[in-house]
Amino acid sequence: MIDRQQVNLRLERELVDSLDDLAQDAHVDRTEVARRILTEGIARARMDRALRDYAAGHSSAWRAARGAGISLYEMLDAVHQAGIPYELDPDDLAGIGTDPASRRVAETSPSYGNDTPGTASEDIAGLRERYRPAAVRVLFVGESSPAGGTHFHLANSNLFRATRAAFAAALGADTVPDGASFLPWFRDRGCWLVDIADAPVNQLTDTARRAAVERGVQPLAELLRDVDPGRVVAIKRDIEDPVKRAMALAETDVPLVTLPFPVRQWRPIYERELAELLRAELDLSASPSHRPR
Amino acid sequence: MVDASPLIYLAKLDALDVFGLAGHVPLITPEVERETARPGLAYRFPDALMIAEALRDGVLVRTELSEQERTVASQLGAEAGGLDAGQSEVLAAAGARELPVLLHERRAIRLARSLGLETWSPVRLLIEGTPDRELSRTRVLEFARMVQMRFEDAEALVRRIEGTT
Repeated sequence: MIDRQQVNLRLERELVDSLDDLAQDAHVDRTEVARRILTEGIARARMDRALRDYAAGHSSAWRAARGAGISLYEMLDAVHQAGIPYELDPDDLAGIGTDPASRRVAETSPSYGNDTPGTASEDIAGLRERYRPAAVRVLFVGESSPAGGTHFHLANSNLFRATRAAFAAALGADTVPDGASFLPWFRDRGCWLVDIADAPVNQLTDTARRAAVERGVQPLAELLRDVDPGRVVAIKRDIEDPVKRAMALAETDVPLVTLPFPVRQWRPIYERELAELLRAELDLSASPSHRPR
Repeated sequence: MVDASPLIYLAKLDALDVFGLAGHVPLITPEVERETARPGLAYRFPDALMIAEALRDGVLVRTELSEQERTVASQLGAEAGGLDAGQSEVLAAAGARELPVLLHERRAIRLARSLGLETWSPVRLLIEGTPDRELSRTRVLEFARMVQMRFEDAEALVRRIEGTT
């Protein structure tokens, strides 16, 4: 039961009339309207106070969020919307190295071969060629590189993590290497990932995005003729039709499987469906007899 | 040791890989995990799901506080005005284990330095953990936009990335 206390307020006649007007409109009584307005007003006042305290440096975003009764995520958004500027720490600027070569780059798992993850000097096209198997058993077709700069072939994207997890689920976590070492391992099982669009599309309008994918149909058809894969896996429902058209142009009738792109709620679906495919139809547990180049 | 606000910003930038690439193992305290990746948050904030997945995949590493660290965290929370529960835990654990701290807010940074801790900001980690110069520039500019950084500061950072100063 809600604990409510009675509070008597003396209000101007005009204010009471306004309350009655709103109450009649909402089919509730005057008290309910006053309660709703107070609730909203208090929430706004708490938020204003929290933002003031944060802007003055009196509290952290977290504490401010507590004071406003919201999550830290909402508070950081509110700080942005309120235009509260971030002051760069001069010591921070001084501490940043200017020579990119001096930056520490850690390889997470050096246990497989001599391959290292991609670097700034090697673009995605170069990496794609680097991880091209001598004979392609499964051709994974993605939509494009993400605009954020991550990529499967840099071993740092959602697609990379979900694909590696699916292989681990299907073949055993001990069998499948982690980190960038997964890339040459993936290649040596005859698996290759290419993108149908040659540049990031995730910040384009829907029309421009479809056009960019469409431009990739013919090149994909040529690639399919060239590599003659044993199976094609399209990653993202939206590219299923363009991939089918490329396969028709290439006159290939190898099996096509379409998986959802592994973000948010689709990630477990992607991992499960890919793992099922790997278990059921593909023997990728051992390296193919043909060695990768 | 990683505080909650910078962790959320890095997740928003899809840049949780910077820890490993900068040579760090990111440790997350229970309070920071609760604030950034507790069940239920992911329904409203996709970045919370990304953090939860990073914890699951070992990109981020959960760490428990010792009894002594918890005591120090409580003391810090009580004595240092404006410090929140997560920051108290982060500073207490970093102090005991002699680890650097990733912080975003000036107040916490000042306190950490007064405790003799090495501090890192999201900007520094983004730059040092992103070997690709173009991506580094993109990430820093997006971060600058998110936190409403002054134009001159953002410009100075870009110049630093490009090695022109």
